[in-house]
Amino acid sequence: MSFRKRGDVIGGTPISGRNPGSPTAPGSNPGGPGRAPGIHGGRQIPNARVQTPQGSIQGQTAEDNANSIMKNPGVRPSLITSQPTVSTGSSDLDKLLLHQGLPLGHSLLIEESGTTDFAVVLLRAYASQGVLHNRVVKDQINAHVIAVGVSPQWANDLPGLYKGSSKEQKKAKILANESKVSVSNLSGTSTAPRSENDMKIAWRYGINGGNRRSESPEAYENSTYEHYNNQFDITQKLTPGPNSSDISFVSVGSGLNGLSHIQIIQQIQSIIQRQIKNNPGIVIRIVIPGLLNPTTYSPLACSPTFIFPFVHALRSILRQNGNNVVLVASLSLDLYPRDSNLAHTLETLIDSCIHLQPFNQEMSQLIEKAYKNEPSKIQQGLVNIIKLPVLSEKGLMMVHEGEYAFKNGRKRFEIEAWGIPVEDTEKEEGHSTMEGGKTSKNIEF
Amino acid sequence: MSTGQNQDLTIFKDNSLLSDAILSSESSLLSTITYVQGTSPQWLINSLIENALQGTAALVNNDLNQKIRNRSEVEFVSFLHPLDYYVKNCKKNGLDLTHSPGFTFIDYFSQLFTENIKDTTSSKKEISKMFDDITKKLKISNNKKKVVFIELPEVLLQATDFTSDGLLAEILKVNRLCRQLFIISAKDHIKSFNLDSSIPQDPVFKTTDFLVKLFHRSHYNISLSPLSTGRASDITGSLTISKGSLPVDSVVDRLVINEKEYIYHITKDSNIRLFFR
Repeated sequence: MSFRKRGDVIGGTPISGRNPGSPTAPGSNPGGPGRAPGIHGGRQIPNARVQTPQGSIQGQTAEDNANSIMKNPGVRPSLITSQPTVSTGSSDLDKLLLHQGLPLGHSLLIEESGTTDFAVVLLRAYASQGVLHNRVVKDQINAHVIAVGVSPQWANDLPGLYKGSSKEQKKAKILANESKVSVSNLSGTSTAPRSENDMKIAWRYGINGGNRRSESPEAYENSTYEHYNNQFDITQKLTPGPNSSDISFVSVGSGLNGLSHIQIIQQIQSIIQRQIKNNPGIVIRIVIPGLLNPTTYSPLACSPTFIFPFVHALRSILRQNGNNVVLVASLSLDLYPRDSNLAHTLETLIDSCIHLQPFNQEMSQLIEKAYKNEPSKIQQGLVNIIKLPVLSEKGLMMVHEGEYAFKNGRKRFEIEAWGIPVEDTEKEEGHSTMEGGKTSKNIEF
Repeated sequence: MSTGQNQDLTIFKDNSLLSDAILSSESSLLSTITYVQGTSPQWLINSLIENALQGTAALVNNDLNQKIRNRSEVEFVSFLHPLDYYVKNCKKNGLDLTHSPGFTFIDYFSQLFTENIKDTTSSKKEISKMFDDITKKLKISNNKKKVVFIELPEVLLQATDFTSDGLLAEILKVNRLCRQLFIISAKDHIKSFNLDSSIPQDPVFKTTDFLVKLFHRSHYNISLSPLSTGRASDITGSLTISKGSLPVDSVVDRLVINEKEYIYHITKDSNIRLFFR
């Protein structure tokens, strides 16, 4: 007679065989990439598109391409212009851009002052979001990330899905274990009440989910475009990490032997053409972290005869592949200040631009003091809007400075309306009378 | 501002945007449209294209409502957008540019730094060839009523070794072949337009030099800027029409520029309201 440990699953698959990228956890979007293959409610994802024969792709018109992109689970229509739009990986940034994301064929520049690197959090979430769209249905490629000017190690730090708080994670683990057929579960007094109990839990959770959906319009939106965006946890790594079908790397050369702008553009173009040829409905996310950072780029890259033609050619690529490609880049303003011609020309050539302005030490101290009892409210800097996709080009005044603030937490990169915190000193002093005396209890008149 | 009375946009005192007097004259006018971040002049460009092609300006001037077939030919040279962009934006003005016989688009955006200019450090020949192609296209048609727009030509100064004087010379060649030339440029102070810059190779110096010389060579200028008092929810910015260094009435009889400053508001669905300031 053989013995098993109480917690071992009878006939269960070994743990190593489990897909780590498919947890069903609270906190992640309903039906997110964590869902088991084959189980997806809401929008139907045609598998046939992935295996489209090459001949038919060549014959497709641009209109067909536009139609096929709307079937991509990572694409939804813009709230303003109805253009196909993809999520940046941060729901608050999506809202800030007013389109509920970044319209395809457009670009976003994230400028950042100071020595911090909050921009990389947004860039990694943007890349991670693309990788996760490839895990909606097994073997279906919906997105491809092109990382420019970074080494493949950069992808090792892509954030994983937010699986809920530690309490919620424990609960989910217990539920998962209880639902499995194990020795300990079978050794219970009666199997019927146990399974009934499981059903009750499932029923309760199901009802809760249903209630949530009917309560908030946001939840309703999520159910319509359930795979559109996910919540990321910056303390977790994306597992399994991205593979070559998820992400490509384009080198910009190093040292004095940097590549010319035409060579880099040709590399990017060839990847885009290859990906679109294989799948016309694919979303290609170009990510350029730390544009012109001296650690990666040749000193000659800062020359106007390199950088302006490079960005201009990228803009041209975006317009030529307006149904498939989006771009997000970051620029350090300590290296290239906003007053400089370089930043100005980039802002002219890029479709949308935000400026992350971390608070200085005095401001940080003031905020920490004001929110000492509510540390979750502490913001880390301002988000200034300089340009928004489509709207700014139409001539609308979209410059908003000092109106939004950001805070970077484990759960998400939050952007909210900014207001100067008020220091409530009276509370500490207790109740004081008109004459300056203090009372210890409320007086009724 | 929402209760104020809308005004019609006019550039000349004969209540026109592009006056018939210019189109029927033998002279060539040069004008600039300059803007800063947040006040893109796309709506104005669309209205000027509409007015040049068919005489109307549905969104900015209600009095200009009589369509004139083939009023003039428009040649649009863009360094910033492809044709699709203008086709899409002009639909609001009731124009179908893809089927408009008088509209020619020269795309110097899509392959500017991959095909048209391959070596940005030695670009003089390639840029001269590009402008030669523009003049050749202008010479194809016998119709002398031509209006030309060139959007963001300063990108050539920013991204290549081409000089401001060289660009100005090429632009003046184009100007001689049309009745009206509009140069559309971004003019953000300090960043790209700084009179204190003094290094000839510096793109800021080249852009400033180009714009200053262009202002001295122009007949009238249109400038768009945000409100100096700060952001307002019901005002997008201000539009100023001013005389250039060359007098218009010296080349076109009895034509007077209506020097005015407007404030304007654009809504998300691209409706435009203008008010006198």
